[in-house]
Amino acid sequence: MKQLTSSLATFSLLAMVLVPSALGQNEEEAIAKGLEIAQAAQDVKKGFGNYIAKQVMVLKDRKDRESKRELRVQILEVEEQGDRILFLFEEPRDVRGTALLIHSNEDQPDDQWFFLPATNRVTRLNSSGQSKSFMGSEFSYEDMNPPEVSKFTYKYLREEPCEELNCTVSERVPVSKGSNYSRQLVWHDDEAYRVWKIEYYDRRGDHLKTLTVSDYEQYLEEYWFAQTMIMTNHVNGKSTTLNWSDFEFRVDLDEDDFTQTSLRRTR
Amino acid sequence: MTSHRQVFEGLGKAEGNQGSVLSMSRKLLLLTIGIYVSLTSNLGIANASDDIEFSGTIAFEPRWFWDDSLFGSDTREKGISNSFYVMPELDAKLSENTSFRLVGFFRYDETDRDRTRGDVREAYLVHYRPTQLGELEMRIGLGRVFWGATESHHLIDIVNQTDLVENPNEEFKLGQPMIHLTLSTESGIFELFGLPFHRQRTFPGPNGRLGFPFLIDIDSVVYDNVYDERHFDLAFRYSHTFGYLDAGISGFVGTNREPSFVPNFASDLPLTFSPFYTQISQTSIDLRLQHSGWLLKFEGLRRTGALNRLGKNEDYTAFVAGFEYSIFSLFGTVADMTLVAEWSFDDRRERATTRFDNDLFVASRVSFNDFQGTTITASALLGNDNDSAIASLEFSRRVSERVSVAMELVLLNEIATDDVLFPLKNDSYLEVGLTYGF
Repeated sequence: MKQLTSSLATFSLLAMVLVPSALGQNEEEAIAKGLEIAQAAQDVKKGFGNYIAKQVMVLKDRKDRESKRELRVQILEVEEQGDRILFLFEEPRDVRGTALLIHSNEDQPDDQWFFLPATNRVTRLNSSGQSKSFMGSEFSYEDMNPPEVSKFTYKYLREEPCEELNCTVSERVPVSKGSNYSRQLVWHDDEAYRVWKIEYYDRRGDHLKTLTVSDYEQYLEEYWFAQTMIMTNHVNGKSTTLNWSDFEFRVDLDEDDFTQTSLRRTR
Repeated sequence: MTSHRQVFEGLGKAEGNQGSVLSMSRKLLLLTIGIYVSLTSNLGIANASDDIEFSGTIAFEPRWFWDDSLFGSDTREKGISNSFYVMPELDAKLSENTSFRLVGFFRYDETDRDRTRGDVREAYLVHYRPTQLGELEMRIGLGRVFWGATESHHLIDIVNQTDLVENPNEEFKLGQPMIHLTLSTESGIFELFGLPFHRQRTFPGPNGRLGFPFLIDIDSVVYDNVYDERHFDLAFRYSHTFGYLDAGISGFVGTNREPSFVPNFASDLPLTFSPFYTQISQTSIDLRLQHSGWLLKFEGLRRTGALNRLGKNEDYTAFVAGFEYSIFSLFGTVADMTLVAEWSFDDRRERATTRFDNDLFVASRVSFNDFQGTTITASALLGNDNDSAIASLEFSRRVSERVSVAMELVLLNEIATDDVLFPLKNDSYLEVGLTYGF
């Protein structure tokens, strides 16, 4: 696999030296198309306002032993800025009452604060913690944060059938040096720009994880939200199934509900 | 080890001796139980809805001391001391913007009758509403407020009294009666605290380990103002986030939370000491700056009106400065490690009343990020002015969805003779806790 990658790299390097103009143009087109798809996928999601939902995570190890996590999540769309997200931990019992507030930023690391109920303390989380496992699951903090368009550079690769639909496959490279990934491959369908699969490649270029997304349902007669996400780690053999349920849209939430003051009120 | 009968006899005696304080906490405890029971009895409807939620923790926490105490060794003997606590919690949503929270706490300790006690950790109403300036939040009741940024100790955190008998690490606090207003605006968070009642610090009793070398008579407490514990203390705080910097300025005017001790000549022999609380004012700042993987932290204060270790009035400046750095995917696994180093300084130096006069704190926490959420923390506090060293090792792990185990090893045997904590030199201990969440 590594050999193949390196010979491919050599080949493309050679090709670029030999026929710079022709390939350069294709490359530019691929970059433009990649960005176009990402932007379109972002645009179709815009306008939901806010929602609350329940998340149940089932963590499975190599020997199929299971462990469960339960959270409530609140998400608010903020115009001209990144989303605001609040995770409220419910299970297991020892982390109950813990809350995580994320202010997603377009082109710089997100702001993250934890509320620890035992001491009523709000504490800032280090942004270098992107690769940290989220509650011991195969999702990292980076995977839980919203993938704002400006957080990646893009390249369109190819088309492929996915489920009964046709998908585009694009490569995206995280801008942040703190990212755990060298690149990701994303499968979007042509119909509504829904994400069906993401492959994550680590810093060494090895295929680390695959996310498969399914059970899409339409809300507000416009927005598609998936109910099931499965993250499989190919290196440690573990997987995490994330089930979304109990969606409620356009509830009484505003920016005041996503501040450090409101974080103290989550209990 | 003391038998249960002796302990209950001891309890009876304690009520006789220390009437006011114990009856205060007993009243609070009865109040908690009363509210809890009256609300649970209406459970039929309430529990069905999401508006009232009952939960809590029960823990069994024996401690093993392998040496007799340096002082009072005839009553503070080595051995295992059993203890447990119950902490019921109730959260009720009264309306869209109003809620009530109640947290009770009761601990039973086999050997230290002063550690057997109850407290209302929290019992407050909170209401919030939007205003033209921003969101206004009002809290009334007993609450817990945390100020600060650093890990090694919480220098500027002054609103709540320390429940010292609970744990020598000063992390546990008593519920503070308060009226707390918070205005969250575009240009920061403004908070005002009215604190109408001073709560006394708790101390280990004559039979309790980690105690003082002399007897403390908490019934003969001395205040240096005419209102005694009813002095109305005031505090304010302004905090704001500037990019990756969280900053806060706070002020406090009122009764000190940290007592001095004065001999109580009115009492019979042996001589006892009374806690003495003076009026102080404190101004402080706290900062947390996130910069390329580093988290830089600072807490600093100026306090006037407090007494130093010699019992003399001395205004002072103290600070804690340090960093936190995390390494993720440790050795290619999902584990991560956080390193903390902090330097604390108090310009009273050898006249300081705390051990943080000029000390270096180093700690390393490994989170395994496994199903059981296993973490191990090792830390050490090293004196720069003397050869004192305090070390601790903590371990915690979930056993099931509701049960977790924790271990805490505290080593105090390397404390220098001139250190404030010298009397605790023989009080190293191992605590094993088993916690059940309901």
